[in-house]
Amino acid sequence: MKVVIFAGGKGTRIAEESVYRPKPLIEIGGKPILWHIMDWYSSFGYNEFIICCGYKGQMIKQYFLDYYTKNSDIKVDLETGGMRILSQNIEPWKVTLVNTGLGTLTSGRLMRVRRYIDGDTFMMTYGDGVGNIDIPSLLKQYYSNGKFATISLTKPEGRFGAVQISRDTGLVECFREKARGDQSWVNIGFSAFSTEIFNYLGDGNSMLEDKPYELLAKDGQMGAYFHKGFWSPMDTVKDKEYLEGLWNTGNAPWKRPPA
Amino acid sequence: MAGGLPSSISEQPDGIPKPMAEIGGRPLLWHIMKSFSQYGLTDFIICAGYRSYVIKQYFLNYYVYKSDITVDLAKNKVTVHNKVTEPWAVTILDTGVNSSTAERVKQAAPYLEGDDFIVCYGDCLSDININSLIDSHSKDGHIMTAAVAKPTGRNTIMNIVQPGDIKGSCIPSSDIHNAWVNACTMVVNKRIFAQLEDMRGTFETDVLNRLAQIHEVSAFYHDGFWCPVETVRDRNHMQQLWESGHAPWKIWND
Repeated sequence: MKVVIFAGGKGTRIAEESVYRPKPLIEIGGKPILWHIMDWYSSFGYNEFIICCGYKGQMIKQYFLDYYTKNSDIKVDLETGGMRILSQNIEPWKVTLVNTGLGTLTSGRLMRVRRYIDGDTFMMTYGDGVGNIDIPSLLKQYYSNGKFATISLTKPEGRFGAVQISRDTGLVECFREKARGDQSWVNIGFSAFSTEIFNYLGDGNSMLEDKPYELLAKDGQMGAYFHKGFWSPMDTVKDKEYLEGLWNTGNAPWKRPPA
Repeated sequence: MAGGLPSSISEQPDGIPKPMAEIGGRPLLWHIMKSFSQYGLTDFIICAGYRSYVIKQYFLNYYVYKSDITVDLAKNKVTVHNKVTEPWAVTILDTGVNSSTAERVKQAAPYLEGDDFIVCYGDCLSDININSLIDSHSKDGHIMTAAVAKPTGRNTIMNIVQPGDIKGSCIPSSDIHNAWVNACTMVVNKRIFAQLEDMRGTFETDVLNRLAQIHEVSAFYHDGFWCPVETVRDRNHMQQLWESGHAPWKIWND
């Protein structure tokens, strides 16, 4: 089953980093966030990816074109230009990189990769969010729903600490650090789709999350998978630092479990 | 001419050659080449210098960048799905980091074919009618025909009559009717190389002056769009024109 990853946006909220490289190539612990997402899917045996490229897409292509040499031990004979691979331990990934345009909205990007999707079902996620979403249970949920789409939802960690105030005295009763339960459910990608979804994309001039999702919901074709574990976007430099800190502890929640 | 020093107009932290600064997601150099290709000129010699490998890599991977591809990471195998490219032949020379433009042109000599060639700078955009420029060159028969355009700078020309107490008029340089600048697009005959033998200077001033002395240079008046892209301001302006869908140098259809 193919995994489609949106990687074409400009990432204006993380402009300090994204002027140099597209957001999916921003690194956590020396590896692009895109790699982390792919490695998570790969840990469940999903190794075929379709990357929707846009902003600075050629850098993403270059990353995967250079992947083999960058991650192997090599010996180069400068005189002949020949190269010998001494050892390699490269991921068994097949990565399809598709130019989906600079300013294209997500449903348009999805339309442009359709020709590379085989089978009736595929998965989709965003190239800027990591989590420990249980992919097999997501798919189980998708198949038991029997709907065209099942999207993962979570209650993200709040950005602010909550305070409970007594009605009687007006005094602070307690603090709760970044309360998670207070948040509403949000869409985090990690979705499973039937190819029927292509009938909902219209002319491709909208965000997937606007009209197409609205229409799917109206038709009763939109299922939900509730993810209670870890998930974080990388929207800002602060998020990047947070994820980097988690990675450096050695047991980041989205890290592939040891084989 | 794409050999100049690093550009401050790109957001890349490590500096890239100015012609590789992007407008609409494509290098300035690509825009220039695309315009020439509309006149059937598709054989290019890029005189690179500073970070020439950036330019080499761009063209080496050109069709891979433009096409959809699948990379099998473990087998290191690339499959190209829909080959999208341009029918261009691109020669890229490393003409040195500190060479003058005249020296760079000299280094391109062994790769030239035919009697005439065009010298163009990798940091200017224009809608110069290249066919008319070439016609004018053939008619005049001089060694060089240089396209000239109205100055674009923000500088104001002050006609100072009396320096102690300014009297005169201040007008933007673009409004001066008889002021023309070299638009950095020149048709040149191979006879030029005899003149270049002992020259190390810049092509658009030293060489041009020498040719003028021996009455071997003509001007081709270009009234249309021409703009050097030298500053962030210039680049942003070009980006805006591109996004508006009315970029004057975009003489091709997508």
